[in-house]
Amino acid sequence: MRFKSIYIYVCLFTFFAITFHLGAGGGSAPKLVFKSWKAGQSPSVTGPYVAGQTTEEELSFLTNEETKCKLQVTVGYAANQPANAYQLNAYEFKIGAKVLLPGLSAEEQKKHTFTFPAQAKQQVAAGATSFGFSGDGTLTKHWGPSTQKRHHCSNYARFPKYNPQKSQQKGRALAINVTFIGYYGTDPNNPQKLQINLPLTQYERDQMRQEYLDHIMIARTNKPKTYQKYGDVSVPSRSEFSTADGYSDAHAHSLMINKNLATKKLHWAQACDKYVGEVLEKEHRIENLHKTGGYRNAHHHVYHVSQGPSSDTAFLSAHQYGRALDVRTVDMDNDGTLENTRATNWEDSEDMADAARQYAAAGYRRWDYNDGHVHAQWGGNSTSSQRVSKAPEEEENDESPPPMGQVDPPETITYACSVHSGAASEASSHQSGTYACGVHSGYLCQASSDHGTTISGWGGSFYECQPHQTFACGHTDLTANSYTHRSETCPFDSYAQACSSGSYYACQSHTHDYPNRIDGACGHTYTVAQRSSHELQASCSETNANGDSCTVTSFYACQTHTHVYPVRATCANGHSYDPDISTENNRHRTRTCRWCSQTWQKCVSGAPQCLVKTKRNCWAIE
Amino acid sequence: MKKQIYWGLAALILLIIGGVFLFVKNQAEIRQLEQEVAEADKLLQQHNAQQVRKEKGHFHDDGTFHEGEHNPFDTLTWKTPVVNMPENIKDPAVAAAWKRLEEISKNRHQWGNFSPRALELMDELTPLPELGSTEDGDCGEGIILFLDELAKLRDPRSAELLVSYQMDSGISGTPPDEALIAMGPAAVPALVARLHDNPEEKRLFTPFYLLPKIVAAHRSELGGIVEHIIIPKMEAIAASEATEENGTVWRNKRFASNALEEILQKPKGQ
Repeated sequence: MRFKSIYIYVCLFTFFAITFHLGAGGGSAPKLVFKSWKAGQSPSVTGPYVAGQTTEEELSFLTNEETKCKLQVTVGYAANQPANAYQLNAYEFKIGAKVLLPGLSAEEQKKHTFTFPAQAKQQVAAGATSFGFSGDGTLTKHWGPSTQKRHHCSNYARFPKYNPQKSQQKGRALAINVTFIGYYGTDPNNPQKLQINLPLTQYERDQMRQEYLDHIMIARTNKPKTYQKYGDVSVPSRSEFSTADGYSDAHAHSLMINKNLATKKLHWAQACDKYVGEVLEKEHRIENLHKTGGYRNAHHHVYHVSQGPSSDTAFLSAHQYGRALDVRTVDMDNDGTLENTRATNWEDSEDMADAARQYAAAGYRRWDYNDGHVHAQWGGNSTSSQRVSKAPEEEENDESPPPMGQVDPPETITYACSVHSGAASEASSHQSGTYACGVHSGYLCQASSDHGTTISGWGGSFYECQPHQTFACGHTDLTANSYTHRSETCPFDSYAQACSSGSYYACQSHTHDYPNRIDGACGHTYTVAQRSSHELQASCSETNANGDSCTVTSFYACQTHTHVYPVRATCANGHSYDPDISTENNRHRTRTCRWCSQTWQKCVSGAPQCLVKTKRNCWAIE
Repeated sequence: MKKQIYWGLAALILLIIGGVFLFVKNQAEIRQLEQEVAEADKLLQQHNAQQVRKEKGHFHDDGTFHEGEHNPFDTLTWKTPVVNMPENIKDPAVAAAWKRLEEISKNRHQWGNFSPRALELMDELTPLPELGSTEDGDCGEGIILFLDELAKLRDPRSAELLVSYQMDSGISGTPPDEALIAMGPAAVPALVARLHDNPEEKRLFTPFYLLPKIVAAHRSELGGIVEHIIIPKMEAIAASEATEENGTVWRNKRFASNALEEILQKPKGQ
């Protein structure tokens, strides 16, 4: 019985041990997400990629240039990890990238495939929770079939002539697929794998933006001199694109950049109408203008860039940024002839350009084309202007004219400023325009005095409305010139002396004032104030314990010397004296009597009684 | 006796020879003296001429003469434009106005800052593009970039070039207009010069458009220029007979009338 109980216990123990062992050794697969990614010039995106839920905008990208694409990706553990999730032991990235072109042969497709460097399997360091990739994918540049040099991915290169239908980037999206493979498990020789994908594709917005990038590369390659002169064109941001309308010449694209082109055309038409009425004093009206050119995508101008020397600057066109309009010339003077060529001196075309200048706030205009159109472009918004209407004809046929001597009151109108009203003849004073300062604009009747008042500043006259201040130097000048009026600290000179001024203003001439220096005979250079420290000294005033003075003479005050004191002797009475000093020597030397040979020193007593009886006092020998 | 005659003849011959010799020598000396006098006269005349010219100008190191003094702001690439005053001005007020215009032109630095970059841009923008030379797709973007940068610098030395672009090229811009207005009096010599273009051949919209705005802000600084130069010229053009309806003269009349209305601040026709 005992053995049986033991046997049962052992089996139960073994059973549970095995169960727990299995339970303890068998963890869950980790959950992984893409934490962040950035391809080429795209803005960085942070946050996990969720298949089917992450928006198109977040997965669209722009390359650096047509033959290279930088890629940075990081993968990490998802927040909601399962219980007992494994940690990764190793990982690798696999990246494929290509141009999505419909109907391409496999051979052609290869030409449009980016190649990223092969990624070896990476071991995961202990505690690592982030796994990243960073590298460049390259694409071999190749030319189109035309003999003229063009970049390949512009794709219009496939055709000898620009074809709006076929030469766009649309449908030719670049696509990158990032695959992350994570390895986990307890058996390193037979790890388990987990794979997640991140698909990145150029959507139309970025395909259109890619065209501007293509532009930059084409200009750099094919028009190097022009590129050096004018630089790169800018790549519009994503937010500048909107749904294409009738003002787009992009044809194959459904998006455009539209800087209020419809409003600008309306304002231009109003401006022409006003010009006709108030400048040319004609009765007919200009109701509308016919657009011949609006927004053009960048590839539209690639054709012009490559076609000949006359188009050297076409790649800079404002049409690419939705800021320009081309309209057909209208008969401004109503003479039945369109004066829009050299033969007719472009009279109507120039009238339209001047109308846009005077009344529609157009930035620049060009009107000397030979195909009968006028170009205008705006840096900002256009200005609305209404022609002042004449009084209706019924009033002219009034059967009851005003009594003699009375004058009909002038017609009162509300001016363009919407604030004032009055006679039509005063309308020009209430229209929008540039103030006298030339910097600010608005309704002329509302110009504050600072737009017309000039101040004589240090750097020249400027208008009071321009930011200005009186600087510490006392000058009044534009704030933009503040650097010119800065305070500068005077440097020390080579002798570490400070300038007496200390500091000066950069706008004022300044000569540093350092103390004068003397080259002394002692070999030192010193200031006047330091002269006494370098003068020749006649004697040294140092004394020793005996009160003797140092005997060194003719030395410079700046030079040290070893003090030399007189040698002293000690008399028979123990007194110290200087034998070189006669008085001391006389006082302390030992005298010997010439008769009795007694000795004495005067420092103690005078001559003693001589021992020779015949003599009185002793008499020293010498 | 014969001996005396021979001796006498010999002496006579010697005297004659000596006399002739002295005569010829004197003549040579006289000629030489005359030549020296003539040269001295010539030098004196040249010197006098130079003295006179010095008062009117100066000589350069390379020997060339320059009438008048250099404007200290002239550079190798830019010279102060000459103000073409009409001849035989009898009215002293008009003469003073032209003098004032010339003074403004020579001292245009008072109304703006000179910038080395402006001279570079002016060089880049010269010569002007030929009218009608543009091709399809070219909106003058490259020129516009430089013109815009030049306009923003407001360098008064660029006034003539900016006015020229506005009037003589197929490209015109609002920034150049704003620059010319900002330059104020410094732009007036350039605009007045173009006001005197042939109104039958040249469209004068630019000076008629800009001068009233500059006059409104700088009337006191311009002095008699407004009353004695600008307004009379505008009135003359506004009163000219337009032989061709809707042509250049007809347009210039309209431009002049509008400008006068703005300057005189009274309706047209009054």
